[in-house]
Amino acid sequence: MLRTLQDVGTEKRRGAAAARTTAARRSSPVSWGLAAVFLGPTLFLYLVFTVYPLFRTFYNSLFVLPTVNIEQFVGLDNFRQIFSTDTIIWPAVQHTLFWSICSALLEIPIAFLLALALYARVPGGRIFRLAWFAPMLLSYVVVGPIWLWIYNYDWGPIDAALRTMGLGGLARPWLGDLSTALPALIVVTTWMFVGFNMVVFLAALHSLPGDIIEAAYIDGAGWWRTVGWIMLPLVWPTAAALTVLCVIGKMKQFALVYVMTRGGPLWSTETVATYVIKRAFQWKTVDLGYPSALATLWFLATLGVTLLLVLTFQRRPQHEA
Amino acid sequence: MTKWLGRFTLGKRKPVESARPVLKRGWRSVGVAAVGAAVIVALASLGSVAPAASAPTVTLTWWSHFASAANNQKVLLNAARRYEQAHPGVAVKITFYEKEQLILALRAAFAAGQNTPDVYYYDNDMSEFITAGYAADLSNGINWSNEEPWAKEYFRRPGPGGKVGVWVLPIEKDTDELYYNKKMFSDVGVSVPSGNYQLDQPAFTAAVQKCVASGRSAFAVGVGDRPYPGTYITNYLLLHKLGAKDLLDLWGGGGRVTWNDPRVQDVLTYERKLVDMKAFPASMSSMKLAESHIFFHTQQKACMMPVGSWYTSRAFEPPDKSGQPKEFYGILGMMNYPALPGGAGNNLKFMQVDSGVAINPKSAHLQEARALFNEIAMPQTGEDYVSIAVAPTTLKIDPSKIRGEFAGYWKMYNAVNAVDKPAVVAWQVVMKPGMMDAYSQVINSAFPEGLISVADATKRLEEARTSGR
Repeated sequence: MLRTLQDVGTEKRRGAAAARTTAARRSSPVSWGLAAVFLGPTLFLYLVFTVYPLFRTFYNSLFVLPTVNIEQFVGLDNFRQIFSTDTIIWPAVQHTLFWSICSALLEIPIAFLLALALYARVPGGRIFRLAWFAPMLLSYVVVGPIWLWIYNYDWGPIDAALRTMGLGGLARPWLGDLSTALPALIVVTTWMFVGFNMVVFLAALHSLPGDIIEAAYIDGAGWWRTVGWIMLPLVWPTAAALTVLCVIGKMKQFALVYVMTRGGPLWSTETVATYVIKRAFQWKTVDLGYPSALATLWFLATLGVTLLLVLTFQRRPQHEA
Repeated sequence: MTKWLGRFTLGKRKPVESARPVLKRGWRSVGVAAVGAAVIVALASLGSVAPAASAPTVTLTWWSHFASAANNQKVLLNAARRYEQAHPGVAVKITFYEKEQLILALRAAFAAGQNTPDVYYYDNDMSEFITAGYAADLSNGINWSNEEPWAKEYFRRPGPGGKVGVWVLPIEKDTDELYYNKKMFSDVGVSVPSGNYQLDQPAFTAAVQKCVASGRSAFAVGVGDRPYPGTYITNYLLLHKLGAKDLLDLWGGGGRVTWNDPRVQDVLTYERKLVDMKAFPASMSSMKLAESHIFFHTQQKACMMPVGSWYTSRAFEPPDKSGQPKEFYGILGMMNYPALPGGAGNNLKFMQVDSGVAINPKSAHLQEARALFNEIAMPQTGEDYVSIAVAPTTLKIDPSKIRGEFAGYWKMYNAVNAVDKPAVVAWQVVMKPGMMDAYSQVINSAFPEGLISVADATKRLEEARTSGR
């Protein structure tokens, strides 16, 4: 009756095999026809509107298209020009990366704090949740003119308030000043997206196991220690995902810049996306080769940054509940 | 037999009344109702029978600007209706867009080669359409006798593959003007001479100084949504200093005249002086074109407004459509830009074609489109443009036929422009794309806003000129 380790191992293997067989018997084979019916339309749209334009852009980047239906193969010449003679793309890259980093540093912590406030059931929580989330529902075309008015030097509320408080010296054309134009736009996107991040954080906080938090209280941990040592590590995967989304979103920022500043003053708010559009549609040429090369490089850069962020956040140890 | 609760019992058939007569009556009723409805419809249609209108055999599609300019629309629709009356069987369908959306729609349609219009609006912001082969050569088949000769030559340029042709039928002329508020000038003690309607540099500087000292801006300029309003002052200072030939070389990147040229430096230094005097409004960077009009004629916060002669197409709308107030008509003045010491072109005035129409070379109705253009190129269109759209035209017109309430404005316009020699140069046409982008960022925006120095502006413009982009 003595059971050796070998017997235990054999039993385990037999049990696993039996479990696999049972599982195989339980799951019914997929009907490919049915899968095609349900997946087909979406896959078709994805191929037509995402995959094809992507590969077509890669293809166009190797050509110059001086007129309709004429393609001149230039190989990597467009890419060479980007690195050698283009003086606008590199400031645009700097602005875009600066925007991405600042947004992540602002949106994620602010959203977490707001979510924490709602989790702690501050009075008027429902109203605050709606008020903080509402900007997310507006499109850039609506947000842009609203903030153009807010930032207006003559009648905008910011400068009017400064003058009322006797600080008229601080009033300035926020979007017309080289040092404040880009930060002014960053404020706008922070205002827009902090609500979305807040809602996601709130869901994450509500899904935390209550017994761990109770245990922390029982052990004498105060509110902030509980937040810092228990809750924050547990919602870290959520924060990581939101950070990646935030950075990717700002790396393709176009609409707000186009509506509010068109890349000015003096290219100080030029982003890669706005520069690509200008080269493609406002450069007195129908050539899409060079802007396609810009778009291809930036696609690869965004992909690289995304992978880097994912790898970085994956290395952080996960605290299992 | 088991009796169940309810109506039915098992084991014994209960006789059921036949449903057939009921169904028969039902279907009969439906049939009668259908016949009755058909009779009613037939009787009703008898009263409204009209002979079927013969559908046009050809429909010319025309995509145009002026979605917000009702008066310009009237002019084009008048021309289209005259053409339709003269050519039965051909209909003209005009779709009005805002300009930016029009250009995007045209680029997309031509690039795709589908759903392109037969004819379309053209202006200087679309110069790539000619080299890309989107416009038909109008050298032949068009009656050019009613067009001013310089206007036809304006569009004689290399097209696709370097082939030289005339690609656009001009309609609207643009002369960049300097409007001013006569009452404000009078209040601050500035007088514009009636001979050449031009101040010299010291008098112009004094006018700017006096305007600013009275608590106003000297110029109503807004660059929030346009790449050119801030360039008017610089363009004219350069034209008057350099003359047309040297200016063309500077803008075109020929290399003979550079941004380091002492004359160019003089111009930039003078303009910087005006900037430092707060000649431009502080809200210039965010002020839109439409707002700058209001700033000038309704709010009256600026003494002068440098703007194209198309100012009237916005300002002469009713006040409730953002036009100038009625009382402003009596105090609207016009003058020439200042004369500069040692200037080679002090009597020159920019003159260019502001807009026209082009034919899609792949249109299936080329003959009809050319016939339409011959109708447009009639003096009637020019007279309509001046009288209804209140904008100058490239078509030869009889000034005595200018009608309407703005005849007085045209007297003033003709008087101011009569002393000038035209300089047919437009930076949007002659500059390379990279230079144009730099010019727009530096001269339109950053320099007049005082964000960069003369040296920095020179460096950036010279960099763009030498890059050849």
